[in-house]
Amino acid sequence: MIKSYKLRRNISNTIIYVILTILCLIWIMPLVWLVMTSFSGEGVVYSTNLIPSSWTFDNYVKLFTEIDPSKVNYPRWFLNTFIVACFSCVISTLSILMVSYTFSRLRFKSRKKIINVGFILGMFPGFLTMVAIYYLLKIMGLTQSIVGLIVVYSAGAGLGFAISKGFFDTVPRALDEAATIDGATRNQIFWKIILPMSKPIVVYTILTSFTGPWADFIFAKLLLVDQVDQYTIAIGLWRMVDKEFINSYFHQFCAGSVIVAVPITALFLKMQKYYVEGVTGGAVKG
Amino acid sequence: MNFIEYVQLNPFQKFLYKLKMFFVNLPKNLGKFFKFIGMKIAAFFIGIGHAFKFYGTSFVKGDWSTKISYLIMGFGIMVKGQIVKGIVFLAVEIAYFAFMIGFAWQHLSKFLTLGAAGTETIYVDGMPVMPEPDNSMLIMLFSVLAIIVTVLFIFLYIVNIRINVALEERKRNGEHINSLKEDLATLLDERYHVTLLSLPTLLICTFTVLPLIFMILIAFTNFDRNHPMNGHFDWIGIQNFFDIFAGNPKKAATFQSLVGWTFCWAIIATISCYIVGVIIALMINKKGIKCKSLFRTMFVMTVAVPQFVTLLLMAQMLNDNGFFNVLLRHMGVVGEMDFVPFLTAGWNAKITVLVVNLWIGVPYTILSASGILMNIPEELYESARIDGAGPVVTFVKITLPYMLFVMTPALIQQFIGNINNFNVIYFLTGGGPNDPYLYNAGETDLLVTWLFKLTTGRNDYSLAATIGILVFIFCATLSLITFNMTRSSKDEEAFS
Amino acid sequence: MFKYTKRILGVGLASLMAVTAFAGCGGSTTSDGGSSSGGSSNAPADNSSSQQEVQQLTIDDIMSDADLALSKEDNVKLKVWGPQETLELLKKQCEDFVENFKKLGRTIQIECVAQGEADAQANVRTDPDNAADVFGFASDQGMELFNGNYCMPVRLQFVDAIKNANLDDAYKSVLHASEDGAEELPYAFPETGDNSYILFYNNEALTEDDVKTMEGIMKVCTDTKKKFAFNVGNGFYGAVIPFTAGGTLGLNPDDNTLQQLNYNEEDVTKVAKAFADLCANEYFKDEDVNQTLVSGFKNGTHIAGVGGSWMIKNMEKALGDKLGAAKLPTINVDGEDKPLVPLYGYKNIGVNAKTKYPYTSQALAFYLTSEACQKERCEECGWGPSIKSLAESDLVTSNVCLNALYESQKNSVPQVNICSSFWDATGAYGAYMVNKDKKHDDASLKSQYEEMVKNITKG
Repeated sequence: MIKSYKLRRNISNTIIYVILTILCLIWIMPLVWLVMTSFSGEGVVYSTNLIPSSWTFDNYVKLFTEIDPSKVNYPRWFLNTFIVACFSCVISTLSILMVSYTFSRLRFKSRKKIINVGFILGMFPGFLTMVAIYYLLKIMGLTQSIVGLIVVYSAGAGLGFAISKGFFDTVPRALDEAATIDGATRNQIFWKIILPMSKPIVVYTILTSFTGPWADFIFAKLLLVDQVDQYTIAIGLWRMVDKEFINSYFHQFCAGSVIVAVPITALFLKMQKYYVEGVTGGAVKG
Repeated sequence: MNFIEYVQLNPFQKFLYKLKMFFVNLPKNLGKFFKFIGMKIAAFFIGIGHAFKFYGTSFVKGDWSTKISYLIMGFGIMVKGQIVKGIVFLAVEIAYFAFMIGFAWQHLSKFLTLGAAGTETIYVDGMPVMPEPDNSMLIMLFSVLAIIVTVLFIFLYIVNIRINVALEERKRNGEHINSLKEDLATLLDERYHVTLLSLPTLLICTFTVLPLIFMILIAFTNFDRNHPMNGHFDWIGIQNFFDIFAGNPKKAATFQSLVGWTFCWAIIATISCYIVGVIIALMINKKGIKCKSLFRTMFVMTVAVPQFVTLLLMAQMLNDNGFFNVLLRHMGVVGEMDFVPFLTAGWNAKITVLVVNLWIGVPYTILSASGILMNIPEELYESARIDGAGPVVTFVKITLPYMLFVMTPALIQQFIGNINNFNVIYFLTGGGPNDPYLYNAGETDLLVTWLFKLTTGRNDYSLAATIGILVFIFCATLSLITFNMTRSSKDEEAFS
Repeated sequence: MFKYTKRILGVGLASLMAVTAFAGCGGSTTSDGGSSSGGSSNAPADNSSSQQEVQQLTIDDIMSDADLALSKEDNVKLKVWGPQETLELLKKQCEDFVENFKKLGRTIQIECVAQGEADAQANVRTDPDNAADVFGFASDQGMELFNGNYCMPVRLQFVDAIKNANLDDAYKSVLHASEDGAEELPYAFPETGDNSYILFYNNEALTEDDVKTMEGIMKVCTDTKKKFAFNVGNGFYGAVIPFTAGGTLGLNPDDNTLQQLNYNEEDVTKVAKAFADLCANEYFKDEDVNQTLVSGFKNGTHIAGVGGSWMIKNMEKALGDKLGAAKLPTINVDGEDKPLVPLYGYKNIGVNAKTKYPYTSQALAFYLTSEACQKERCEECGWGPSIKSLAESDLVTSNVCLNALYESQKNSVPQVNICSSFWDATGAYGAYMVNKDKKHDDASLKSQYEEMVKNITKG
């Protein structure tokens, strides 16, 4: 009886291993293809081979050596994106944490109403109003530059309070009360007690707001029309596979994608735990 | 169902019950809602009446400095000892009038007509001089700004009077009047929320609320491809809304067709990602499976790589001559001459985007579902096992309801996210293949990608704004309902 | 009460201050935008008479006299948009222009940025203030650019020069009347005369006689089991069906934004039927030729295909000496061989109506479209010229592809005044005709025709 149970379990586990392996392959294959193509020395866009017939490192080298400011300037794009990501990360993280702490821990008149309004506005994808935002930035003289991008990415960040508010809600209020009795102001409680206790959500917020600018395409395209110097990675890479460029730049596109993907992937895998806690709104404790 | 019965239900059933009751009570609640609105409106006007009475009596009863404060803001406050605060109020008043007279009025005065159209092109010594129409966009933007500033000003004006009255009373009763330092100190404690919220609020008002108001206004104009940017356009009332519902057959047909596909897409994409993700997560987390974190990492890799990279890559691979077609030809599935039009024929493209979305979306589900699975209380399973339940029964009776319960809010968020899922569609198909029966839209276009195309390629701004408003209303209503129905808002005090 | 009011004060003040600061920034923009409105209303308004008064200038005149060309403009900064593949040449030509005026004592800086024609016109329409001063666009975009006043009309001094030098249809593609009944004047400078398609073929597989008729090509294809690609499902190519039947295009006179079709249903249906019959052949491929044709020629799956002029360079690389090109073949309609009539487009260079330097921009556009520059573009990039004398010169006639283009230009429908609804509807009609799986009886042909007309003319 026990033996057959074990056998059955072994068989079912084997099947699961097989299925999982196949699925993993499906999921990973495009990425493998990306990496392979980035090292490919074949001149054609639509290669017939998964494993390239000739290997080369040229595609990477070219990205950093063959710079044409009016067409492709990968190092500059990378730097731009990094700058945008850093600035908007700081501003967004601060606003998100400030707003969510306020909504979670402080009690004031009309709090519920304000939260609801914030929640509705937060549901609103910013790019639906892109014309208006564009014009607003134009009046401020911020189009055609990455400053405008920083503003766009971080201005509305405070509305993404839902997840971190959920987290703060789970931090026991007794802590605040004890601190208040000890004479701490709310300012001190926020910085000295709650924030250090909320490492997962802080890391999660930093992570999401840092990776956001690497992936946004819509606003980058809207704001940086022809300012190739100011392009971010997303729009730059998109340009490389545009029909005008794809024939000459497809392999460099792959190389460029790998260069962006590696650090972000590493960062993400490292911070995975925090991400899960963030997504499940603190319902899961790792 | 009475309370005892309700408490005995499992969380999932509770949720279903709530859902059912929501719809059962909908007519009643709607009635209540309108009554509530009516009462609020009435209360508002009564409030205004009271306010006038209050300010009237305050004026009559107040001392001389309070009376002057009705004209010169902050005067009374200064006299009563809070000098800096008083100066700030005075500065606000001066700044407001300077702003309105010096700048805003020239735009606000044209708000009703949005300015005038330009004249014809003329030639001076053979050189063309282009007409300079009024810039309706600027007029509209600055008018909205002027109105917002005015509302704020009125508000501050009232605050000014209230502070005056309050200070007068404190003085009369011999109470302590806060110094500037004490006032500032409260900003870090009792009024800390003001400190924390002011900057985010300012940013949000400028870059979310103002554009939103602006967009709503644009929906009532004829700002389209025939009315260039920087030029003049007119108010046309609800013509745009009428157009997309019935007025313009082509636009109406496109709207209907896209609404249908958007919903199909959102529902299928959400559910398919959820089911596949949960199944994979279950397999990974099954007892006795080793290398759990390796498997998870493999899947999660695709989340980590920026979405536009994977999508652009997929678009290349699914091309008529891309990797997959080459592969199929090599395998002899299709002839040397042929290809599978993954992205270039109507239904194929729809299925392809759904499948690719699965590839993109499933890892997210795996990620969160794994966490939840590990959190299901072990006792539940044990008691089920004692009752003799098999693996299927445990799954249907315990795992699934539990996960659904925990993940419902996330699922609905995802549903809304999918309605607005720009990236997958735009990078893969660009909305195509194009359909001549639709107004500048293709067969895989969602409402949001249509909106994007109308804005960037076609300059049909007012139509885009109209769609934007409708999408927004729908998403906001849906999320508000779920937000208030799920526990996150109700249980927020659970730990306090 | 006390607490409440003070808290609000905090929020309100912060936003009010920011709001005023922000409004201040905007002030400057409006004042320079609005001040000039109506400022020039006392200038002569009768443009038809003023045209005769101005002295006509040639390219030599303006290149030798800075005052004639640039008026008082100095220290000029211009931005130019051109497609990526010709950017190097564009830069060189702009430098020549700059050098020329440097000698004449004027400083000009020109920045060339890669923007494909499709992006360029969309970006100009999205934000003219930040767009290039001088940009290229395809002639079918002209209508919307001109209607919206995005393009500055050509200086009257240049009108005669471009009118006389260019092919008639090329010149017509830049004409526009600013209002009903006004005289038509050029709003852009014709840049190329080649934005169309021709028949490319492998001259080892097909003879010159074979490629004269569709029937001949299909016969060889069937015999050799090789493909013939013709993307009839795309409106650009699919337009041959109605045009071969004698159809032409216009704009609805009541409202310049709707398409008018001068089609004859009976004739169009006959041609469509001929296509349907001929293309019920597995070697006829309605596919995206941009993707398949060059590689198809390279690896031998295709022996003929109808492709655009922008493919010429790649075709030459792929086929080398084996490359043959001809104007479109004829098709047998009811026993009569009818030549296929293509849609023939032109590329134009426009001057942004918002440019700060109208004289320099106009002079630059004039220079870039002059005979010398078109010749260079033709030699280095293979762009067919719109200048009449060049189109008839050795430069074109010695090049098999350009010659074929020029031949087909003689019997073509110019790609002007086309509404965006035209493309998809025409393409869908073409796709239906060459789809072997669809019914091609009289009733369905009629209903397809009606669908197409409805979808085009209703915007």
